[in-house]
Amino acid sequence: MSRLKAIFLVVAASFCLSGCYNDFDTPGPARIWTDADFSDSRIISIKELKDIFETAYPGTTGIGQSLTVTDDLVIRGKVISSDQNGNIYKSMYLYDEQSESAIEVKVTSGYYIKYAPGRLVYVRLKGLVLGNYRSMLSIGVESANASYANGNMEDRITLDKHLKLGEMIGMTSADTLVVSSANYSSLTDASLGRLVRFEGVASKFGKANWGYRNTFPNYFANSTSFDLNSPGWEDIPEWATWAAMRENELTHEKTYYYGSAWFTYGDINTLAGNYVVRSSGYSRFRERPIPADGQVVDVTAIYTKFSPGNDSQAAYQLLLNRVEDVVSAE
Amino acid sequence: MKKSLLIFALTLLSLSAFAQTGGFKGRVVSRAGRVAVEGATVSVSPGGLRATTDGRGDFLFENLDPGEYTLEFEAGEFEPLTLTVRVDQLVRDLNTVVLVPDVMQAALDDSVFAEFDTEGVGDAQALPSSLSASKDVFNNIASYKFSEMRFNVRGYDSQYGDVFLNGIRFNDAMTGYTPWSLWSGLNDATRNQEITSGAVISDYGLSGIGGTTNINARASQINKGLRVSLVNGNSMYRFRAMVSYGSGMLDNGWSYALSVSTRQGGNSYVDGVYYNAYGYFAAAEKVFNSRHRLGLMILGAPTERGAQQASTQEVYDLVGNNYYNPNWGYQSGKMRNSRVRNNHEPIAMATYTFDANEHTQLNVATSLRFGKNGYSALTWYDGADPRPDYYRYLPSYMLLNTDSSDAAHLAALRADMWMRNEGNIRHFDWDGMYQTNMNFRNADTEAVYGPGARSNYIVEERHADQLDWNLSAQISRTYKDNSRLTAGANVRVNRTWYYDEVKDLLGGDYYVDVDKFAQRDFGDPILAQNDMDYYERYGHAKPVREGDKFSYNYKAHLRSGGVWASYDVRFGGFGMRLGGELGGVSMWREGLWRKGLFLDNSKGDSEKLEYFVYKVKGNFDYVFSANHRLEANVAVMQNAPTFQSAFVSPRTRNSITPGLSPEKVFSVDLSYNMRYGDNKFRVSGYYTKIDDQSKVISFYDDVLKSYTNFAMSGIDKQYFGLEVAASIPIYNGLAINGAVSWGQYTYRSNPNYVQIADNSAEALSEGTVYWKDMRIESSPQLAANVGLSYRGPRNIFASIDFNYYDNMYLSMNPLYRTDDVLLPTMSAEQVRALRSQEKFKEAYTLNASIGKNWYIRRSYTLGFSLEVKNILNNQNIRTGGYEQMRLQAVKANKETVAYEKFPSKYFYMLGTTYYLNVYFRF
Repeated sequence: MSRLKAIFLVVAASFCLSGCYNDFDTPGPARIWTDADFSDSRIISIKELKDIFETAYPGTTGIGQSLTVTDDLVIRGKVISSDQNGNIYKSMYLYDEQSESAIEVKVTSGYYIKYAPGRLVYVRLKGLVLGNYRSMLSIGVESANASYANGNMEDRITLDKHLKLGEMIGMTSADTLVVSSANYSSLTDASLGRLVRFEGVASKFGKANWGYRNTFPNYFANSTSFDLNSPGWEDIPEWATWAAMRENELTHEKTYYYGSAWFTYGDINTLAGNYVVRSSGYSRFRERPIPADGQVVDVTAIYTKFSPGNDSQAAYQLLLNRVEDVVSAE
Repeated sequence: MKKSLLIFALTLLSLSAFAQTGGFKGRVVSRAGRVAVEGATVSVSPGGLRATTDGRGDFLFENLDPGEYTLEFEAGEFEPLTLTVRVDQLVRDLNTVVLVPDVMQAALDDSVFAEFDTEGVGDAQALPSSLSASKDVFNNIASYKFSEMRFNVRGYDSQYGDVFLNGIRFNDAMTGYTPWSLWSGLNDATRNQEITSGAVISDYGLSGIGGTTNINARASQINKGLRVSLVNGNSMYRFRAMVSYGSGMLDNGWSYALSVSTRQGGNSYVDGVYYNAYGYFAAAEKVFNSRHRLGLMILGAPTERGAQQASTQEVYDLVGNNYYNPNWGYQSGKMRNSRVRNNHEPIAMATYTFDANEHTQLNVATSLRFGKNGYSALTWYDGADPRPDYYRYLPSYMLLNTDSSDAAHLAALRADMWMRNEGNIRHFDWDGMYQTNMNFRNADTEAVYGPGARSNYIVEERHADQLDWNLSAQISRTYKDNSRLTAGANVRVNRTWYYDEVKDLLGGDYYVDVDKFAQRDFGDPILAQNDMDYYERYGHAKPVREGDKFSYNYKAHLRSGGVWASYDVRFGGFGMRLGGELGGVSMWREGLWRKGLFLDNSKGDSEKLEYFVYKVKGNFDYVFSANHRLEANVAVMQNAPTFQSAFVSPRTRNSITPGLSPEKVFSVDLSYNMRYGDNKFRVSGYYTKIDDQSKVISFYDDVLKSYTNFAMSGIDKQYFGLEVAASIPIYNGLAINGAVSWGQYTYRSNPNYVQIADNSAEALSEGTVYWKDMRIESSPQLAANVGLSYRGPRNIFASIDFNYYDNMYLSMNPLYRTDDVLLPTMSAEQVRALRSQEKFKEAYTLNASIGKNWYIRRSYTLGFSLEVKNILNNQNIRTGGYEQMRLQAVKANKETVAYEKFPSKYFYMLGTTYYLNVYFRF
């Protein structure tokens, strides 16, 4: 019996010595930052930030240019975009209600999980790079690719260093700029990056008479655009979807095509009033059909511009957060 | 432990006979110097006779009835020894019974696992093929001293070595791997082992080509007395305590044995790894009427173990050490490992032995293995890859396909962050993941799943829970001419339940069970469902909580059975043992969920795969004289494929691997043994070929942009080589020993493959893997040892060993060796570089051990052993690794013009480690 006691004693002792390997305290909730937390910096509006770049590179001289922020500046904006549906990719749009201005922040994929629409986000700008890509200004980091004026904050350390979570205040109707056939001509590039609802625009199939005079809908991959005039794509009007994916029957390689759908307020000769909804081949609504030719819809999307510097090669491009943001207006 | 086996084998069972009544006699000597052991107790059962050896170590028992007897030898300072001896009408002379000093035992402890403690590709756990010492001078060195380098004898994988527990084969039914982890930490209880090596037929079955180990864990075989040992070390765990008690055979015919142990802590080199392990063992045995023995046993080793993952050399260099472990991060300031093995698979067993008469013995055993076996990992639904060493987070990624000076600057910045560990960039951000989960809630998800935070990151636990029932019967009969027939039959029924379970929601309230890859690839929500029955009932995917199954859920079923027989006979100097085995294996998958992608091929039973298996073996030897012996063995076998290679994607569907066929094995070897006293020498040559293996590897293909199952068939391998070993006493207890294993293990053919999309079951490509004549990975193909050992007076033992290794190769990614990854723009040099196999640098190590024990008042033994490995503290010795399954695209003008290998991942041998064992026995 004493031997059994000895065994029990040793067992009991060894249990006491054993570590608690899986007892972890639950971390506290994420810190919510407020203006007061940035007393060591200067909070500026998004418009002021855009102006800083504009001052350095006025007008179209800024295209392709970079500007590194060296001061302790901070912007605050509400997230108005989401990459949940795979369409918007690594670009987060922040909207500043006071200056009614928005800007793109180049981040990593899946940001909607942490930076959901309606979330206030502060950006510590010092060390970040303002870059202009084909007329769109964005905030990012130094680019490793000479083709781009700035790069994405891909890693956790950089993101945590520069982006701070603010309060979740939710989306309101005031976050969306409403445009209609009556006022679209007054929409300026100051609103680029904003969430805009274009009410009463008509889907249009055919050749545009502005910009590159592309034929819509068209699909773009590997530096090549395909429309109904391209061999093998003649049937586009029969299936036209927001984007496309095709698999090579021989090699089984998949190609993901951006899709471009054209919406217009009627005058097909001017840049203003014509909008291209450009959707990614990776978007979850890739296979969903675009509105039929002539159908009038309301489109709520991020308002962007693609321009190398002159209007004859420019287009206003709209980025859908979700396909449900295109609704029939009839 | 294993040493008792050594002595068992060293015991020369001479069959010289004298005209006396039945009995046996012999002389007990110590292994060192063959010195007579006086005062050793010899107990005989049945009968309960006892004797003590005299000054010359002699003992004698006479007037015994014919039958089988168990002799137990016990002497202070020596390992106890048990022998089974059959008595006929004569006094049998056992000649010398060799006892081994107790101090040796610790050296062969489970520290041998240390180098096998890491993970390979696809969660596969590398395991030693043999953990056992043996009588053989070569195997003794190869199994233990080379284990630091993941050495496998003759290059064979662990499934070619059979491990039996009380006569039942316990190799894993699904993988064939050796089952050591089921009883790890129970060293005392599993100490009695019988070994055969190579293709030699064992008494428990014909077995494979990598030798057999039978662990005799019957209560009566456990060393009598109480034994307590404490270990402190820094190579696997910090601390081990073990208590064992064996009653020996009591007067009422009962014996019982108990053992418990715990292992705790991590090692000195790799952060995040740890043991939180226990072991228990209980056995009882009863002898009825001296002819029937019934035994019961249960053992289990509830073990939780944090694992290490390999990383690339770039990361090791940035971190400044080769033991970086990407698996962990800080949670509220405490180190947390994401990859934890958590298993508790008890084995319950009953054994029965019937001595029908003095010539015939029947053994029957049945066992049940049950319980849980989980392995955790971090998984996530969306967003950036949270693994710290994900390739996009490394400086090298910034330098890809660019000559921009900005890129170099960025890479330097990133390297600086890694070197300074800025923001714990080297580790998981558990706190951040919790906080993200807590905040991940929106109107869309709450409308579907109700209020609560949806976890984006969770810890999953992948389960392979076995229910494994075995029945085996074996009968042996010795004939008058001393020839012997052994035969047996075995049945196995295995049900292994594979599923994924939510282990920790990391601060969220639920996780949504969808196939995120299918969701990304297809717009149709049905295709993203893992459990369509749930979806059809509720209209949405299942929100899962901790303890819930998700992702996949299926059972693997296996039935196998066989009969075997062997016949052992001698004609003068020539002896042979011939054996044959016939059997069948049936297996099928039973899907428990209907998957959206494969509505008609995922739920319910798959086709039943049935295989006929056989083994034919011949063992031959010729004894020229007492000093010279020649041995030859030949084996031909056909084995069923393993379950995991038989199904293309068992997690998703019932599809069978294309080209699947049974594996064929042919092996032959020839050995010459020489022995003069304690001078021992052995040289062997062997040739083995293993044909028609199948293998499925699942990975994301960068070219096809799809998650794919790469199913290879017709994998043919060839192993040949030489083994040489010698042990030579020099002077007064000092001996020199050495061994060389030189082999060439190669792929003998270019296997065929079919690459199948995991999402659609569509065959995407097929062709040939060009790796003929390339080397099989996993073991050094040249290993050499030279060592000195010393056994001094007063039970001091010391040894020092120098080991040298070469011809070690990296595990190959077959995709790199296919035509699919060739581009017309690739140069011959680029193709050659992509297909070439990496060879590791040669390596050498210096190890030493010392030990002593004290025999106190002739009834207590106190001893210690200390082993120090890698004394030269070389921290740059690669022991293994693998090529990643990704390709590196080389671009020019945005076009891919070539593919290169992705950086490989490596494991390194730990620097200097020690293992101190202190034990006390009474």
